[in-house]
Amino acid sequence: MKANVMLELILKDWRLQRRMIVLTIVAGTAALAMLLIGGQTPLVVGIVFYFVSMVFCACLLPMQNIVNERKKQTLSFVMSLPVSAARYGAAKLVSTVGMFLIPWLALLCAALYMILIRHSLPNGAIPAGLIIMNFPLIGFCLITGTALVAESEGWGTAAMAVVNSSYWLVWYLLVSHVPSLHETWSAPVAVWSPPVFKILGVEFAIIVLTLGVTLYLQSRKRDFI
Amino acid sequence: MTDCAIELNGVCKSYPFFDLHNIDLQLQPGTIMGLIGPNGAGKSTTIRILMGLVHQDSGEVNVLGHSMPKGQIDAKWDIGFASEDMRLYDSMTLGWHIHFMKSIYASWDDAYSQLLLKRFGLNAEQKVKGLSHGQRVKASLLLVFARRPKLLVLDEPTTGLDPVARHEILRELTAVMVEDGRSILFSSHNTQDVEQISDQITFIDRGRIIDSMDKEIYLDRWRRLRLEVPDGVALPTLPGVIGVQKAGRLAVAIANAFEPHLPNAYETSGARVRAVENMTLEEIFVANVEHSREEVKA
Amino acid sequence: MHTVYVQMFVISQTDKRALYLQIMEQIKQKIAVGDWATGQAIPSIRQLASDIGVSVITVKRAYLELERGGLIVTRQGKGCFVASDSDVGARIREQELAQHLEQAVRSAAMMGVSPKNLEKRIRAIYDRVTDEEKEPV
Repeated sequence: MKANVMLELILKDWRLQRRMIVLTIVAGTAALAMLLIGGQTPLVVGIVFYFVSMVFCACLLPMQNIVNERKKQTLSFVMSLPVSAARYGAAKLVSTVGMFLIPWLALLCAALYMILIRHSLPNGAIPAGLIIMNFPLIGFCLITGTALVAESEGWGTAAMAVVNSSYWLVWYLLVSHVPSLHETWSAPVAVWSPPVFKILGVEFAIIVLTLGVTLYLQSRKRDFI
Repeated sequence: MTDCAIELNGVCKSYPFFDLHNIDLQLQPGTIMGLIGPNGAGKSTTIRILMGLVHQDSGEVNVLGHSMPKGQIDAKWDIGFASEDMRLYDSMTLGWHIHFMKSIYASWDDAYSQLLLKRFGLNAEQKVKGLSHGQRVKASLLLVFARRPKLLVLDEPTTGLDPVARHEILRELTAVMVEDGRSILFSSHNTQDVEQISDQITFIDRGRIIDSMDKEIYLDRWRRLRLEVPDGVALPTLPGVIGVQKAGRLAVAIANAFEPHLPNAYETSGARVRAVENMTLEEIFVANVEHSREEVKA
Repeated sequence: MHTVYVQMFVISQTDKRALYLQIMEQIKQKIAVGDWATGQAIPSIRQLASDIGVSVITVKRAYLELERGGLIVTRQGKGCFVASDSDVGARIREQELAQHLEQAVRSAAMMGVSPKNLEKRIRAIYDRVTDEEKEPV
């Protein structure tokens, strides 16, 4: 029975990056804990740092897991194993996205806990909160796709810069053009309006599209090293 | 047909500033081939093509019976590859890398890897980032050797190693040959190493193969003749002699297709042959490259 | 310091002679002194190549030449052996003499020394050497 090389590669990536994942969860959770203090300042600081820890992971994980393979010259070592460029790319995508989803889901649950159980924020914040939580996820997919396809630190950094500067702009545009978004977020009840569903749908589509295009472009590569 | 361990037929690859042109290469199973050539000659590119890491523009590549790059996954189960620019994960220990290889390759020989750790003076507990250059190279090679692969493809395995480390590596390379049917292709600048352990030597320069043959036959074909040329004697142009350098009444002729009657041919013309010397592979290397570049210019 | 028993093949890259000749020389010495006894099995080509740390093809060539000179024999399926006639040592010394003579004659021919002159000179050397041996050292 031949070993499953792709699985071993994914496990290897986890072994190499797990510290960062744990740190992200700890940082995000600590930020959320600030909300328990009560008051406006801890609330804002907590939410900001909560968001920042997600963004931090969204930037650093693709750079360390993908760009570093080439930068630190471990790519030849991996490609000497019984694996093709296409399989390598697929395993890398799975490990990177999979590893990001761990803190993302964990912090999402932590936020829902704070809202539903601890009542640190009104339930009306949930739809908007979910939309905002997707920002680092989309940003992450864009950075990951760029890093994997372009294979360069320069392009990865450029993607990071573009993505990071866009979060606030996109949020501003959404808030100014979709009134139902901020009208209801102080409400005690979560309001799931059609615009909210549309936005969530678009976010999901962007994620799927980004990952799909990445896989396609990766499989077309002729010179891998 | 292909019972060769490696076979390249008419392989071409174009880059903006470099072309690999019509590469024909055959590695017989159970032998060691040394690939030598100047920097930028195309050694690493050729090796990457046969590993399936780079797609050739044209030509066939067969490694262990698999067509490359299509069959690279199957082929790589039996190939051990190490290159000079390859690195391990520096935050992990050598022991972790050994465990990683073990979880992939069933052929991993634990006893042999323990022996090599001792022979190479390596500590499995040590993180890769703490290793010196020589130790790192030996670590990468250990990960290849302990799998006992059918084919070893090594890009500059002894470059940058101190004499003791080089000796250790050469020893393991020749030990591979005790098992019939295992083959090695390695590229090197170190002509001494190539001369010592290769069964076959392949010379590459500027993207072309200029020689590829049995080492003993090859070394036998090259001679340096030291001649005394009295005034008024014109040295004849003889077949098999690729160059003559003359200063005053002394001359040196380099032959790449030496025949026993060659000295006589010079004697007949009036010159005196003072010595007929064997050439080291390094001397052959330089003479060969200079000669083939002149030929291309002409 | 204790004695270490090894195969004792030492090859030199700076030796002017080809590798295979050095190996042949050392094998002949082993046979001449009796370390490799007549009729004894000797390492296979691959094993010896690994022991010395040289290419298989070089050892193959050395073995081929030695077999041609009647010093070793290869038995199909059984391996390689030192030739089993008792005067192998003498045969080695005979071959060495032949080699030396060949070299000397070639040098002389290249320098244009006549056969008669050569004979005279060999005789002179022979007389000198045997006289040296008669005198007490």
